[in-house]
Amino acid sequence: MRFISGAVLAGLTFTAACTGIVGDTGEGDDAAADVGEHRDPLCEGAPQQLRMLSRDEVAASLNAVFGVPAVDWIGIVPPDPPAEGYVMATATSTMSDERLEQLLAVSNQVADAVAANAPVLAPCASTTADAECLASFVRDRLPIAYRRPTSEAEVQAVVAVAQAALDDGMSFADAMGQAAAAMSLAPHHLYRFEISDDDGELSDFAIAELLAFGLTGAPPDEALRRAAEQGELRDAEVRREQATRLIDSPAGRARLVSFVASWLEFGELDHADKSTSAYPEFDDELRGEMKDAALAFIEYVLFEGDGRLSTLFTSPTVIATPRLAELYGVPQTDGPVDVPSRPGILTRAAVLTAQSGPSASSPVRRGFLIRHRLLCTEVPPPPPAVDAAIPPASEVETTRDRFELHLSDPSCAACHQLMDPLGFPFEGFDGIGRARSTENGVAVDTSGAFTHGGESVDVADAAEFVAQLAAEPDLAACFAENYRMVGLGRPTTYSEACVPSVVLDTLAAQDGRLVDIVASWVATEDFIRRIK
Amino acid sequence: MKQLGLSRRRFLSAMAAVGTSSLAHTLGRSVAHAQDGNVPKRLLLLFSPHGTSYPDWRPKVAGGDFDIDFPDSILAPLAPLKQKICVVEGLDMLCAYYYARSGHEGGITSLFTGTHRNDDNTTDSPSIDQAIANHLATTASPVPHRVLNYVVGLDATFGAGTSAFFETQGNAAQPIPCQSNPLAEFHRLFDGVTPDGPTPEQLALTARKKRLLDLSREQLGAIRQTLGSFERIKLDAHVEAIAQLEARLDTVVSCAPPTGVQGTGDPAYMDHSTAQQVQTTREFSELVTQAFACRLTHVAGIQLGFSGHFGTFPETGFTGDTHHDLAHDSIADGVATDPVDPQSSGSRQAYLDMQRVYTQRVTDLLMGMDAIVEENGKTLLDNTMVVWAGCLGNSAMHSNIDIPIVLAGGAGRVQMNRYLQYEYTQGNHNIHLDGSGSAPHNHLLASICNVFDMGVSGYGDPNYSGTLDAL
Repeated sequence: MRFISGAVLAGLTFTAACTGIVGDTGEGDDAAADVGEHRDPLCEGAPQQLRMLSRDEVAASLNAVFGVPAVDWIGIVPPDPPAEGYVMATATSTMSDERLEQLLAVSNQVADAVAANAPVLAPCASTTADAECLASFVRDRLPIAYRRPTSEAEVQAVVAVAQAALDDGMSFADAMGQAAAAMSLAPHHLYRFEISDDDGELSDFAIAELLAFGLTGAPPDEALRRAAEQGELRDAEVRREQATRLIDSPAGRARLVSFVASWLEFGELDHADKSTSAYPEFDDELRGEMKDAALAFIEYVLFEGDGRLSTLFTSPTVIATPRLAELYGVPQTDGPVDVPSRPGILTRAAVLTAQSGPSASSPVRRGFLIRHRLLCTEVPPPPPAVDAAIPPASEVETTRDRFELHLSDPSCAACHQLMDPLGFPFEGFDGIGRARSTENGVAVDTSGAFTHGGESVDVADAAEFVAQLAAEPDLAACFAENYRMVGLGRPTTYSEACVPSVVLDTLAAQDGRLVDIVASWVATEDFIRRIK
Repeated sequence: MKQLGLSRRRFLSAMAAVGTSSLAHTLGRSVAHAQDGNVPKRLLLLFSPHGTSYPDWRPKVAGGDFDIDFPDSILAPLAPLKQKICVVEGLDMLCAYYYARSGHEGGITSLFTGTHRNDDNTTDSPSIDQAIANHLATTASPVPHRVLNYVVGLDATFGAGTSAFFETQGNAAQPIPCQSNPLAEFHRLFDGVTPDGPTPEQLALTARKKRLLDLSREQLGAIRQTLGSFERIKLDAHVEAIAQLEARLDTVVSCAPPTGVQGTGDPAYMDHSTAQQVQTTREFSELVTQAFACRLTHVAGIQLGFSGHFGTFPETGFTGDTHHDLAHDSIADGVATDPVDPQSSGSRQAYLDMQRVYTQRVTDLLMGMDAIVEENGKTLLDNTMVVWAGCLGNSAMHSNIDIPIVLAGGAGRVQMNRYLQYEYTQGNHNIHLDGSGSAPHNHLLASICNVFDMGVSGYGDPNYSGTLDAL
């Protein structure tokens, strides 16, 4: 799966078709970009879809429906592989016999857990345990499992499974368990139905689950269910309020921090391979501290600081563990401390280490992260049969010398000029994020350039570079595009190219807090409209 | 967004995989013809990390025979099975280099797929276990499980390049989320399997499961009525999954389940730094052996770790980080060279001990298979094509050339007790991407497919089509 960047699309022919829409939104500061009213055929918006719940979403849902610990079922179902570096319910996932078998095993465990908790879960006393009590149990839980009001016929279909269990001679508690298994295995439970009505809008209940799973990773809570029942979620301001509320919950905070971490490709740190001869101090403990400290920094900026995207990339606030403080060469303190030489998340060990080689820094990888992941610019893969070998470290003085070849050889330079100059300013940090002024006794050269959108600004070091990056509107647009992609479970396609560029421009123009960018997208028509 | 349907490159790749087999199939080649008596051929793929030390891995040749039982020999534990193995040296993963996708992640991805790792960690071809399993699904005796894929010592978090097995989904092959928990797998494979057939309780459980599936099918029918043709592919896939699962539940297997799968009951099976991986390897070995013997599947793949695996090896007594301290630091130019304290970083002795632990684990698995005599009078090992390979040749250089490979069993088709030596490329600078002077490992993958009568002329990257004449 690959996504198409707004930045790339802006250069395509769609731009002309979009111009009218941009004008129609007025001043461009209206977050609820009205992309539905004046739709250009080229700018269709996201399509309808059925989306299979991810493993973690199934777990969260079962917990919400039955309130019982999910037993050991996590061990039964392997985690979903990330798509584009994000763990998400993707639009392309389909049921396989292996996955269904795993979910059947999960439903068996749910049956056992519900049976064991039957006295607590049953809506009646054991003396009145009868078919009507079973129906009452199902009637209570089914709307939570299906995330919408359910019909009596749907209730009775599940009750029939429990009744058959009773007829087989199972206990009432076990029959309740069978009803729970049937609810957990139902397609209505396992898929999200992003289906629009005649007006092209999602139902309130579909909006509720889109909000809840997207912002908290769990199904709608009671307040959101109530709002859906009262038909309030098509109101942009209600959505914005709900989004703000959900993001500020513990699950919402954790999910937004996790999203930012995935955007910055923290996952690569987990498997980053380091040579013990080059970096004898690097071990799993330090690896863990790097990640924890970076996550703490993101959470601090988002929820303790001003929450702005630009701050994330420029703030000198460091929250360091003892070993990390030693690596950074700063005194260990209990709370946050300002370290001017570490402006923003890109100068932290987690990112610098993940985007390095086993025994040296990598301007290419660092530059690629910025160009591709943070600015949403497509960088072509190396051409086939290229001689990708760079001079061995022993033949040059500094890492930068090795990669300068990329820029002197025209066949390499075409692509590498997109990446390497963006990575060079970080040469003041080695392969595990330690500051350095020399390499092999030679002064490191941290000069580079922030080149983007046809403009180029020379920078002397990382601090100057991140200041330029943080001021670039495409950074916010790219954040929003990634967020939208994960929210929809699918990459942006050409048929909706204009919609994101309108929406993203609007969001980016806010120069706002990340929380506001997210809540503003939720408030757009784009969030609730689906093309049939 | 990838285009629907096969790109030209992918089409060629798919054709290379399919070759002439579909034609042979439509001509009505009988299922029995492809089998040796009534005993099916099985495929077992094994992966282990950390490259090798060539002088210690390479068999010694004397008097027209080869020897793996010498001091420091990494393959020494396999000596009792020498008649049943074939050592292959000198194959190169040129397909990884062609697209500049070498190293750890590139190597483990290319090993069994014969193609390179895409940016999004997908590949253009599935791994051969999937291709062969799909072929056997229509040509061999039916089994409840198409293929089993396991990993030891990984929590399956899928960092880039941790999976060796890829399955086609849509128009790309995705890394398979391998099972890492033997106990869960034991229940999945063997619940209801006894020598005397299922008990009444098991039959009742099966009936309850089928009731749940019946309801799901009805519910899908109702959804389909509402949605018309919209999302038909997903709904059809779900209905098809139900049908397959029902067929599996209907398959009554009378067989003895393995007895040694205890599991741990806690997430320790995911811990890659404890003795648990010893136990996990043994339990997966037992599961696969018995699943083959009981005709529960014909194809399996086990990853003994992943590329860059930094687990410890209690058997060696070495307590450091095996990947960085040993694989990186004790090997230079393909030779383990640091005869220092066996407990210290960079210890040659510890490196060789570690590699022999992998060999021992593989040997234990193969010995278990060799202890089971099947209806054709041969052992389960004899009836199985085993491919054990790594992702790296020279670990310190992280190169994907001269990868260490051991074949075993042969499935009645590949002559064992041999040492096949292809040109030792020795360094990345000697690679010729046009394939001259070097043997692409794609040839081995194609030949393994042909052990199962797939009749292919190549596998994976069409730049490196061809087969290994010696097989």
